[in-house]
Parts: sequence; structure tokens; C-alpha cells
Amino acid sequence: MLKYTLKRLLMAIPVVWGIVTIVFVLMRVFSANPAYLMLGQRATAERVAELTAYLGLDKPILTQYGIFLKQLFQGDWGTSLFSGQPVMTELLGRMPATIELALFAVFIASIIGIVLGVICAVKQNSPLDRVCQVAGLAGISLPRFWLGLMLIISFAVNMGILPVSGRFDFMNQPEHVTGFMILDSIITGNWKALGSTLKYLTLPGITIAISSVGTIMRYTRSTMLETIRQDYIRTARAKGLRETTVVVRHALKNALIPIITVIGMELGGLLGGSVLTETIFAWPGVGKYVVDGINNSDYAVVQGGCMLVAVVSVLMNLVVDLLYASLDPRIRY
Amino acid sequence: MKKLLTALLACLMVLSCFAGASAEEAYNPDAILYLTCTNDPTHLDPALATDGQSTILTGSLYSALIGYNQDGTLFMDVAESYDVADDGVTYTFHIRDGIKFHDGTPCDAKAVEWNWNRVSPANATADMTYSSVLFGNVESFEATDDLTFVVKLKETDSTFLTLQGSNSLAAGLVSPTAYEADPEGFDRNPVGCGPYKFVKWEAGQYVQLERYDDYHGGKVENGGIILRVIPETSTAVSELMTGGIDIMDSIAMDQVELLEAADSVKIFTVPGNNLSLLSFADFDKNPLFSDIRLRQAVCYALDMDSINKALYGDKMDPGYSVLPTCMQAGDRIDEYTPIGYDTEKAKELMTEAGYPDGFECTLLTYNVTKGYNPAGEQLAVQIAAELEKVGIKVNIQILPWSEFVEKMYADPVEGYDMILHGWGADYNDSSNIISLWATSEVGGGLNHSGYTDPEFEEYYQSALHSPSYEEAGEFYFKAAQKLNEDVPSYCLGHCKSYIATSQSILNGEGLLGGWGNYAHYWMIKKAQ
Repeated sequence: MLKYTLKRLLMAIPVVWGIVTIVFVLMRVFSANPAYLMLGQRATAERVAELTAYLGLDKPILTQYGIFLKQLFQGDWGTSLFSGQPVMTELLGRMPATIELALFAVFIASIIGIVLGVICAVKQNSPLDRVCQVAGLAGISLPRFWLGLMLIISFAVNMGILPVSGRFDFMNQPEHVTGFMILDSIITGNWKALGSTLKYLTLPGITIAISSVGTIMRYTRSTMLETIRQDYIRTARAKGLRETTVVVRHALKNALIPIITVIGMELGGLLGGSVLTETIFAWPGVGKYVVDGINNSDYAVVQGGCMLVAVVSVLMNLVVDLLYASLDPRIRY
Repeated sequence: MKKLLTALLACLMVLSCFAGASAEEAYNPDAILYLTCTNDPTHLDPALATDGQSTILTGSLYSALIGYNQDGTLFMDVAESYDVADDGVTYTFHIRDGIKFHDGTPCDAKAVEWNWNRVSPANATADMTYSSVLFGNVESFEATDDLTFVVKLKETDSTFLTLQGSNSLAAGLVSPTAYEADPEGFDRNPVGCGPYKFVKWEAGQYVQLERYDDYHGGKVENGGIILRVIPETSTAVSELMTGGIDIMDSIAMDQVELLEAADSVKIFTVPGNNLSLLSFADFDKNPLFSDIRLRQAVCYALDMDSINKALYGDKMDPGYSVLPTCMQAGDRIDEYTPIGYDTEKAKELMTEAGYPDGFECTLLTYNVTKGYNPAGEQLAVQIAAELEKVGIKVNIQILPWSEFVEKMYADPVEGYDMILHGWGADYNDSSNIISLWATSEVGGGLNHSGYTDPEFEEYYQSALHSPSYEEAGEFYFKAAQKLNEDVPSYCLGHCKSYIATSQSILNGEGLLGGWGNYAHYWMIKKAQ
């Protein structure tokens, strides 16, 4: 298992390097010179040339690439041209918000999606199954941007029961320990802040979860349908086991591998930042940060962000593969 | 009877005292003002700040020798007075005694000298954009004693004092002690002597400032500012309606009506200090637009009243001249003779120029909304449709903002004939706008039309080197009128600014004046 993990991690290096190289080349070939945006509307040609040279952007692309790789090997992800801050520090500062939202959303989506998927499979073609199928499809199809705004208008503006945006209440902010608001509230014993943090998480979490529920539910349903037709399920029933035991312990456990894969992919995607949800709910995560970097031609930010997404995706795939082994004793690495 | 009157008067006095007291108590002197912006500020060092979200904060953190009132006029800030010598180029500023930066460092003439040294063009780094704009005409400066600061200019300059009012830009005074202790970190931990001091910057979330009790400009009427980063304006509107933020500017067109209808929001309008422009790119070298008749034909063919009405409702003021009505010489609207809408005249001019059936040209534009054009690329579409009616076929080239900016500044101009752009004045002096056609800005600078008219340049230079701001006005008027005649660019209008506040803001009208960056938040009162 350890050997397999190390092998997979080594294999990830060329993948990440390839992605970063492509992003490096694309940014320099297709995006505008950031000096114009940095200097604002009073930019003069001389100032732009001076700043371009100062930033090292007038050097040949291969020289720039060499410098970039050298810095990367030294653990330096570069500095944001606009904020002047190290990209790694800024990305790590935003990761807790992204992870917290992703885990919250995937947790809700997984619980609801798996439960509904199992029920739909067991009650195949029943009215409940049909309603869930349509609702699931709607959940996947509804644009997150629209959904988020509708939820804000309904629950925050009209009913006034949830906050519109942000991550915490300014009057009730937990002390910073880890950057994870829920964790920080618990560690510092600030239960009022915990309640308010959960309130702030609810709308963005539900916005993401609604589309993920559909996907997880449909996968659960189809794999469960396949599993409950297997001989060993018939055997379990013939043994006189309770239906719940048959469904949960025998069918669901065996159907979990594809479901875990889907959940892993959903989580992997969300950990790279959910740009639309972060934008609508003013959620300070990595997705919005990287998109701002693209708009500003902030090379280091885009490179760093893409590298992070690549690393997270590779790691999530690895985690999912390793989970297979613990779920199914037949799989060994 | 006399006793009765005395008793009545006494009652009235007592009642008036109570009335006064309740008005005073109606606001909370420690209330936090929640503001919003769509992106993180980029810099809190005033020498580096250029963008709107940064200058909201730098304008509140720093003071300069001179300051702007809400209407753009000047008041004495860190300097309590100044004298101008007979030579017209030597200014002596008398610094107020006792001013201290937020870290306790005295803000005296020595500190001012240190600041000017830091940002003067000789020492400025490449990213200090406003260094040459604010200090380019300064020959020397010196603190002759603790409270006297003497500046000598290279030549007389009507803009000098106005420029020194840019406390949110490079004119803002920073604490020498704090800066020298950590020059690299200063941008993230700024220290000035303005009405608010810095508390915290959580990237992507908010920047917090708190009241500076020893502010030399008077009592700060609230407890502090939190500038929240809310990227989506629809969300910001919802926050405003539910009390999550108190003050919002840069309101999108479609949200104005929504806010006007909301009971929980007050909305204020001011004339905009900006202009939307259609420029003929480097027209002297253009085979079509080097002929003034074709430039005029394009302008005559545009029914800007209808286009502006369709795109912006009543939000766009007509472009009588390039100068907005809130700026010097911009208010003489009856005296300007702008090109009006006359398609017959347009066709006549095209026929005279040898294009009776029209011609084809390319228009460069951008894909975002701007303060001077909240309709984004829709403006280009409307203009193309209007020109098509007289036979001018316009190919629109829409670029993302960063690419648009790079292409607009490129020298020589390649691949387009006209350009839709605009300008938001960054300080209240008409030179700020007139300079867009200065000869010195040709070729990679701000003069995208490549206009080099000697008469215009003379008016501009005369205005710049007038001994006073007031005397410069007449020259700015003539320069703006000359632009109407020569049409290197066509002014499409001046977009109004909208500011919305929650009902809890008691004196929101105090934010008006068209100078958002210089808003005096410290005067704003918020209800309990």
C-alpha cells in the first residue's frame, strides 16, 4: 500500500509539472501585460516599460520559465503582482474557507443523495422514485448562479432568517486559530459564533449541495439497482435477514465504490474552488482568487492556483483509490 | 402676564434642550460603517494606490497638506495656510502644530519633507504611478523649520494646489517611523494621520479601520469603517436592503430602480466626474478619419440622446463638452457648440469627402461595465446600429478589459479606426481631462486620437501655467471648445453617480459631490 501510494505520488509530479507548464505558456502568450492594469489609467508608455522590466516580464519566455522552475524547486510559488504577497500564503489563507464550504456541501449532499438513491432503488418506479428522479435532474440542471441568488432573495431578503453573504458575523467572530470557523468556534468554546458560522454556511452550502445531491442520488440509485439484483442479496434475503440489514449492510456496502468515486470527484472539484458560489456569497475561497488572477493577468496567482487544483485533484483520486481497498477486501495494491 | 411669558420661555428653553439632546442621541458615535467593494483593495500605501477600492481606504487613512471638500473645492488640511511668493513658483506651507500620525510620530514639516523625498520622481519606484503627475513640476522642497515647508516649482502651475489635495494618492502623508521600520510590510500595515487608523486586512473578506480620536480635522462621528469585499453587486444590493452594509456606490443601472423602490434604502444622485468617449484612433495616420468631414459625419450620425436614453435611462448627462458640469469650465453648457444629431448633414459631409455611399471601419471596445459606461459593450452595438443608418458599416472588436487596455495604449495603432473608451477624473482639476489630448501624451500615452493641434496645446499650456486655478478656467473652456470643433474624439456623455445608503445612515447626503474617493466618511452619522 505504501509503495503504491509513493508510486502514485511520484507519477503525479509530471502531471502537475505538465499542467503548470501549459498554464505558464498560455498566460504569457494570450494574456495582456499586467503592467497596464497595475499602473491604472495614468499609465504612460515609459512607466509601463519600466514596470515591465522591473517585473522581469521583458525577459525571453524561456528565461522567465527557468526562473519560475528554479523558484518552484525552492518552494516559492511566486508573488502576486497586484497584492505583492506570496501566492502560497494567499492560497493557504483562502483554503480553509474553500475546504469548509466543500466539506459542508458534500456532507449534506452525500447524506441526502445516498439516502434518496437507496430509497429510489428499493422502491424503483414508485411515485417517490419518479419525483426524486425529476428533482435530481432539476438540481443538476439549475444554474448555481441563479439558484444562489434565489436562495438569497427568499431566505435572506424576504424571510430574513439567514445572512446574505460572508463567512461570519462581524459582531460575533470566533478567534482565529486554524482558519476553519467551525473548528475555531469549538476550540475557543464560542458556541454563539458556532451557531452564526453555521448560519453563514447554510445558503452557499445548500447552493452547491443541491446540484451534487442529484448526481450522487442518481449514481447511488443505478449502482444499488445493479447490486440488489445480485445472487448474494437473494441469498441474504433467503437467510431471513431484515430488509434494512440486506439493503444497508449487504447491498449498499457493495455499491459504495462507484458512489465514493463520484463523491471524491465532487469534493475534488469543489476543493479547487467553486467560483460562482464564492462570487455570489462573497465567500473568500481560492476559486474567486484565481479568477481575479486571470482577469488581472496576475501570472503567479493563476499558476499557483492551477497547481493547487492539480495537486488536489491528484490527491483526491489517490484517496478514492485507497478507500476502495478499505471498502472492498478483494482490492489490494 | 410678564410672569406667564417668562414661564413659557423657560418651558420652551427646557423643551429645546430636550429636543437637542434627542437629536444628539439619535446617532451612535461608535457605530461601524459597513461599505462594500467588488474586489480586494490592491494597496494601502498611498504612493501605490490607483484603484477605486484602495483609494476609498487611503482617502480615510491619510491626510495631505491640502484636502478636498465634498464638492471638490480645497480646504487646508495638514497645512493651516500657505503663501505664494511674487515669483509665482515658491510656495511656503505653514504646518499645523501638534498633528501626530497614528503611531504618535509628529506630522511636522520634517515628516512632510521625508514623504516628498519618498515619492518624488527622482526616488519613486516604477509602480508609483502618480509620482510624476503630482510632483513632476516640483524643482525643490525643504523643511526650513519644524512647521514651515517651502516648495519651489519649475514653472507656474495652476494645478499644483489641487494636485496636493490627492490625499488618497501619492500626496497622502505616511508615518516615516512606521515606514522605515518595515518598508516591505507598510502596504499591509499602513500608518497615516487621517481620521481613521488601520486595524486589519483579511484578504478577500474585509478591511477594518477604526476612529482616530486625535484626528486634527475634527470629531469623527462614527466608530470606524469596515470595507467588505462583495464581488457580486446583486448580493451587495441584498446586503444593503437587509442592513448588512450601510453605503454602496457604483450601482449598476438595473439595480437603481430596485433600490429606489426599496423602503429600507435611500438613494442619492450626483453629476459624474467622468466622460464616455468615441475617439478616432491616431486619426492623422488614418486613411478615413484624417479627413475632418468624416469624423464630423460620424458624430452627426449619432443620436446620442436616444442612445443614452435607451441604454442608461436618465443616468447619462449630455456631452456638451468633454468637461463634466461638476468641473471647472464644464458648467458653461450654454456657451459650448457641440455637434448635434443631423443625418442629412452627415450624408452631405460624406459626399463631400468622396464617400457618398458610406464606408467601412473598425471599432475597438471592451466587455465590462465602467463607471462612465454602465452598459458595457452594448454601447458599441448601439453606435454601430446608428451609423449603419447612414451607410457607415462598423465592425466591432470586443476585447476583455486587460487586452483592451494593452491594445489601446499600443503604439502604433493597429487593426482599428475608432475606439470606445472613457475616463474618470482622479482629481478635481480640468487639466485632468484636457490632458487626454495633450501633445506630450501622443504615442503610447493617453492621447489615443494622436491629436496635436498647436492652438489647443497653447490653451492647455496656458491653463496649466496660469498663476491661479480661477484664471485657468477660461483657457480650459477654450480648449474644450476647440475639441468640439476639431473632433479628435466625440464626447458621448457624462454618467451620473449613484450612492445608496441604508435608512440608518442619517446624513448620507454628506457623501455627495461626485468625488467618491474623497468621501468624508468620518462625518457620517449612523442611527443607534
